[in-house]
Amino acid sequence: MIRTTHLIKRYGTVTALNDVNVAIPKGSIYGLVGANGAGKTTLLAILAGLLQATEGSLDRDAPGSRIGFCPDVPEFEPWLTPREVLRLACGLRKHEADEERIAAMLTQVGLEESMDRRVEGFSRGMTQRLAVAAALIDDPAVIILDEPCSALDPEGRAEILSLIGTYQRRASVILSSHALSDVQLICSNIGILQQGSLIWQGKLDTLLRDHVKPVWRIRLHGGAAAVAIVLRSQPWVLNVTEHGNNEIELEASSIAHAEEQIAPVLSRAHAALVALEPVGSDLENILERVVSSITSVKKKPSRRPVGHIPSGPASDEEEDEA
Amino acid sequence: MNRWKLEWLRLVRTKRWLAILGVFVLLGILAPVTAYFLPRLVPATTGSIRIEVLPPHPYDGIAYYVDNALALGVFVAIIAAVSPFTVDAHRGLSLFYRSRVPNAGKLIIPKYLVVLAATLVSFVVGLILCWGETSLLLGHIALGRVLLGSILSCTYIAFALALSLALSSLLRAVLPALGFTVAFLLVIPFLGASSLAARWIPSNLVGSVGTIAAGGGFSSYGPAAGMTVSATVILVFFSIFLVERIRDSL
Repeated sequence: MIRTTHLIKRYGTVTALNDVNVAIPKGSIYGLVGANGAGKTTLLAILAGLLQATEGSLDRDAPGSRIGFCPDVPEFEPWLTPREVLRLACGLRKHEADEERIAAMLTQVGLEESMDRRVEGFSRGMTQRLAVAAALIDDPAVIILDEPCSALDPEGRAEILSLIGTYQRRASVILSSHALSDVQLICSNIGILQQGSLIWQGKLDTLLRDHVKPVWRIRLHGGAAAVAIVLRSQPWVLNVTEHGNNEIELEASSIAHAEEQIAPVLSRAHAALVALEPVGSDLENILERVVSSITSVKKKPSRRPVGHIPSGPASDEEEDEA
Repeated sequence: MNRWKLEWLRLVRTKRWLAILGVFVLLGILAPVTAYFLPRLVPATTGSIRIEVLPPHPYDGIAYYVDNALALGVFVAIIAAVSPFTVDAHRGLSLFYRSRVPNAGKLIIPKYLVVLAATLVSFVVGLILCWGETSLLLGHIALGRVLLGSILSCTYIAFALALSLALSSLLRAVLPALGFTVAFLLVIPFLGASSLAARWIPSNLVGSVGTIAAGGGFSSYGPAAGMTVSATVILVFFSIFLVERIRDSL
C-alpha cells in the first residue's frame, strides 16, 4: 500500500499539490489523470522519493531501491546502447545484470533490433520504450510511470500497455496519462487530480458505474418512428428522441433495465438494427462530468457527488475491496 | 555495469581522454623546444630593441611545461569535465540516476575521480615526454626529482577540478559553470599580492616542479599544499551536499 496523508507541495508561492490523500492498493494499477499542470508529475516524483513534500507524509511499503521510475521525458547517455543502459540500471542498484532477462525485456518493449545500437540516434518513441524497460528491469515492487506512452504510435501503445498490465498483482503500478483510453484499458483504480487537488479516487468500475448515464444511441436502417412508439410504451423508458428516420436516442431509468430490455424490445418491434451504443460512457466524458460535478459542489457545499473523497485516505473498506 | 565503468566509458566513447591526453602531450613536446629556441626567437622579433635571453637551463623546459599544463591543460580538462559534473543539466538523465543511486556522493565521486585520474595520468605522461626531450635538447635532469615535484602540481589539478565540480553543482548549467571556474582560477593568483595570503594560495604550487627538480625543498610549499588539499576536500563534499539538497526543482 502506498498512501499519502495531507500532502502539500509548494514551489515558492505556487501550490502544486494541495492536501492530497492518495491511497494506492498493493498489486493494483492506479491511473492518475488530470489536465496539464494538475500536479501529476509532482505527485509521482514525491511517490518515487525524488521530491520532498512541503507538508504531509508518505507511507510506502517498499524501499526506494525497489521502485522503478520512468520520467515523462526520459533521457539516456547517447553513447550507451540499450543493453548497456539496462546493465547500468541494474548495476546502479548493485543488482546482478541477467543478460537473458535484459534481452527478453528489450524484446518485450520492441527494441530487439536496436539492442546494440547507440541511443544517440533513437526517436522519442524508442527512448520511451527503453525508459519503460529500465523501470521494469530489476523487478520492482512499485512501478511509477509518468506518461509512459505519450510518444508511442498506436501499436507501440498497445504493446507497452500490455506489458505494464502483466505487472498487476506482481507490483503496485502508478501511471499518469493524458490518454484516458490507456487508463481505461489497464487500470483497476483511478485518481483524478485537478489544480493540485485529488478530487476523486477509487475503483475504475465504480467511477464508470456511478457516472455513466443510461443513455443509448440506436442506429436503424429506417423505420425510427415506429420503433420509437414501441420504446415509449415501455415503463423503464424515460425519454425517446428521434434523429431523422435512422437514429433514436433512448434514456432509460437504469443501466440494468436498459441492458436487459433494449434488445428484446427492438426484436419485438422488428427494428432493422445497424448499431447500438451507449452515449458518453467513455472515460473522457465521465471525467468531464465528474470534474463539473465537483466544481458545482464546491460552489454549493450542500451537495456531494458519488465517489468523491473530499479529503483523508481511502477507507479501509475500499482497501479490502482492492 | 557500475558507476566507475560508466565514467570510464564516458571518457573513452566521447573521446574526452583524447582531448585531455592530447593537450598535455603536445605541451610536453613543445615546452623544451620553446625553451631551446627562445634565446634565438626573442631578439629576432623585437626589432631595434636589444633583449638578451640567458641560455636555457634544463629546468626551464620543465618549468615551461608545468606553467602551460596547469593553465591550458587544466582548462581543457575542465571543459571535458564540466558537462558530466553538471548532474542536473539534463532532467531526464538526472531523474534516471537519482532514482537509482541512493545518495549524491555515489554519483559525484566516480565522475570526479575518473576525470581527475585521466588528467593526472596525462599530466605525468606530458611531464615524462618533456623530461626526455629536455634531456636531449637542454641537458640532463633527475627524473625522480621531477616526478617528486609533480606531486604538488597534481594537488593543484585536483583543486581546479574540484572547483569546477562545486560550481557545476551550484549553477547546474554547463557554460556558466565553465566560465566561473576559469574566472576563479584566473583571480586566485591575484590574492598572492597580499603578503598575508601569498604563502597559502593554491596557485603557488604552479612553480613547484621546477624548484624541487632544481634541488629545492617541499617546506616552502607546505602552507599552499595544505590549503589546496583542504580546499579540494571541502569543495568535493560541498558538491555532494549541493547535489543531495537540490531536489525541489527537478
